[in-house]
Amino acid sequence: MSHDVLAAVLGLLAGTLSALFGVGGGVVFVPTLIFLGASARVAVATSLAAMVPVVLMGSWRQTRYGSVTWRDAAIIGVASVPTAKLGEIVADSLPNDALQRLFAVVLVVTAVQLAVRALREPAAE
Amino acid sequence: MATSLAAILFTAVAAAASHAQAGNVDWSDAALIGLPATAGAVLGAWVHQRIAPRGAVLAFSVLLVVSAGKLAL
Repeated sequence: MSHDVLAAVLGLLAGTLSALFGVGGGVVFVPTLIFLGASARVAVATSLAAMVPVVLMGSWRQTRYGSVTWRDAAIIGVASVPTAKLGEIVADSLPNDALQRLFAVVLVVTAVQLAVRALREPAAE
Repeated sequence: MATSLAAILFTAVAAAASHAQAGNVDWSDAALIGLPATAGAVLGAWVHQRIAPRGAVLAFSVLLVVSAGKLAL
């Protein structure tokens, strides 16, 4: 399978898993991109760009249901701009291996949070 | 939840722009993954409304830990 077809298939799968389990796109996009051969730095950066259309679609659908308070979203979003820049500086300054291991820790923390939440919820009827 | 998603839109755009300035974004892969993922997210949200996947969540958690192991080693 060519790189492009594989990327598209994995993208479809990653988007499905992200929405199905309520996790951020990066949690599934970054390992996918590293699996496709990207360095951790490029995977993190590319995953953020890949998230834009996904979040745009999600926000548009939620706006149609009337559940988005855009003023609050803009305040929170704009406030996060400097920290996003800080994140980019930190990611750029770390060696690739260290960034990849740090992301592995994020994956484990996310996995534990998901498992704990699933186990605490009442069983499905 | 919905407002937080919309806030992430601003964060993702800002963070992606910042990384793009540093020349780290692979735009081709971003489009190849991001556009199908948009369709996948619609599918995932649809499935989520129809099943209560405790077992699937636990299986997904294991998958994340396995991925973490592969990344760390």
